[in-house]
Amino acid sequence: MSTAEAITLELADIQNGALHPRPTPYVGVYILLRVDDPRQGRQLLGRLLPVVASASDPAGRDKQAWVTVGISFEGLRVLGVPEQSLRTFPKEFQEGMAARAESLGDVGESAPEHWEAPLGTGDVHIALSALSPDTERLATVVESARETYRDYAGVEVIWRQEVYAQEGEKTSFGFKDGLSNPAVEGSGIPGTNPHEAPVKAGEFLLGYPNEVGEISPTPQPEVLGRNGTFLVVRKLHTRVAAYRQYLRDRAKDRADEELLAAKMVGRWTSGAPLVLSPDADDPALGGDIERSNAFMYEADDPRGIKCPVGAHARRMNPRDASIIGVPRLHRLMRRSTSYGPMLPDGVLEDDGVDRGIIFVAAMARIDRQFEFVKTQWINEGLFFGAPDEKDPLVGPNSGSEQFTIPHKPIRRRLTELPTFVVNRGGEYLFVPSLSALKWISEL
Amino acid sequence: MSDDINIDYAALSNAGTDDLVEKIGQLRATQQDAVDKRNREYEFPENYDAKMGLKVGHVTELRLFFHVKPGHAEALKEELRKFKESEERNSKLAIVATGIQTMTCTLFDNDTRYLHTTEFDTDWDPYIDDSVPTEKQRRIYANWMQHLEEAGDFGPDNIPTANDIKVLFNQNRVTATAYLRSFGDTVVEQYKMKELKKAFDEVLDHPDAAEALSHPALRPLLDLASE
Repeated sequence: MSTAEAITLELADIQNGALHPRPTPYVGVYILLRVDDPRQGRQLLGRLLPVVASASDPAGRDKQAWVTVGISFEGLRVLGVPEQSLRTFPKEFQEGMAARAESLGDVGESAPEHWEAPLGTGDVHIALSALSPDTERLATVVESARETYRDYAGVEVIWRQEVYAQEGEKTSFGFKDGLSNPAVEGSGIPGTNPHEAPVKAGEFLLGYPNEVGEISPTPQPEVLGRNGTFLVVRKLHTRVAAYRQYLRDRAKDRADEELLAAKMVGRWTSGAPLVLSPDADDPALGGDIERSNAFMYEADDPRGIKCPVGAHARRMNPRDASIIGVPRLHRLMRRSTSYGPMLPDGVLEDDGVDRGIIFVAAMARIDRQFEFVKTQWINEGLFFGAPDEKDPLVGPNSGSEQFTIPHKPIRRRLTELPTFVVNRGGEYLFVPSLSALKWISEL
Repeated sequence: MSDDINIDYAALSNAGTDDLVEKIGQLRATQQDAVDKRNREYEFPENYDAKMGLKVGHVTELRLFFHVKPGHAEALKEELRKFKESEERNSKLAIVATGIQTMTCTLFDNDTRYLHTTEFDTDWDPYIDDSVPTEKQRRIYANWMQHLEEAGDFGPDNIPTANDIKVLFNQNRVTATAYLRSFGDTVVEQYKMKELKKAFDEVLDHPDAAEALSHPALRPLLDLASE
């Protein structure tokens, strides 16, 4: 199949949250619902329809604030989606994240038996996310969502997680977040890297050609699957104090501490990429969303002398780097947010407060995108030639792993890497089109 | 059957475990002098899974058995020769991108059957889409698949999708009974080793190499400098 022709996306049928970047800055909330009464659950979806903004209305009904609806496989079953349709969903979605934990490397402290209830239990049926630039507008959209389920005794709120941008939109590790995302062909939403061609819509939306010229497996009937996407959600607890202490123990001085941190991430705390600013942070560059993504790896830093080939950001998006495989087949549309307060500057002792990232990513194929990235790019280093090295920041390191930092004249190496990120639970969700939401609501 | 490794697979497939272990022991013994044992890894499947392929280190084996369409043997050989010589296949970037270490194409049983054998870095399943990401690459597959019975109507006028190729491979693959490699290093690791050896030779060719390598920090290199 040729994919040369221009693609026209049915934006009016696609949930805005499936395509549009989150507001900057942002506040938000994730709400998980269990449906005990299928009829009420379906009515709820019908009521949500006017609340959910479409991608053709990117400003949203509440001025940059919007609600996104996701449904788990168990949720689809409870809501009455016919068995013959359920069987058309991809195997990994049917099984769910918890069932695939071992192959994903979610073991030890990240194993499902340690997850925060109700994540991974089968009780999560419907997920709502509301994002807004400020608390005032968030309250408005959350209230409009709450109106849809407040009267239903057969639909229960079982989990709620508030998120908000830290100062400077930094993660709990102190790095500016949400900097790099692909342009999606036909969406009109620009990507962040001017050197990167838009990615085929079929990599993120069901029913359109993807990068290999195929339509990704799409749930049937067409009204159910087309214009939908899959969402991977993970609550990632970050061990900030341990991370800071690790760097303090290995750095020559405070400047070296910042350098080692940047080498692990691939960017300075301001967001300035090492490829463009290898020796020192450049806050002006970090604050310039266009310039701070205008680089490639193979063309600008093939050996990783500036940005280590095993750095977190280079793993998550290798761009044009010489690796096994084709990076464009494994892109994620990341929509992650932060939760919990920052650990105050300079504190090296854990204060016991839960803080971290709600990892959220949209994709058409969970197996070829999220699961591939997690198992091949985060959990291993084989794809770039260092099989025994894992992602130094978010990888499942266990105290014996190392991280190589190319450097002239002699490379550096961090050893005995511990776990800095623990998965507290997650879900695979289907984000239906607006017409699919209506179809389900009328079953 | 292909006999590129000196082991009787036909006999082994009917052998009991004890016979197999004995035969493997013999094979290892014959190669003992040729290979540094410290670097040899051997895998025999404890939990045999026909879908996975065996691994040594980071390298996976894949063996595909097909029947050649009557009268297509010479055309298939010609396509395979073209494939072998294609620049796209032989560039360093292509070799790294596919992770393929070896590929052996064997017609046997009077050219009526075809054995396609590859060894590559990584597990095979997650990377199947990456191995045929463009229509141009899938066309290369189609050109030799058109001569195979099991490939049905696939050919230049009916290019298989990545998923078609995955299904075809899955249906016609046979996991090796035993798999022996001397080293399980990846292609990228091997490139690095070659670069290191070249650089070390340049050091040794320098007239002051002995003096330079006499520093205590360079003792491990000095230990390797005599050969």
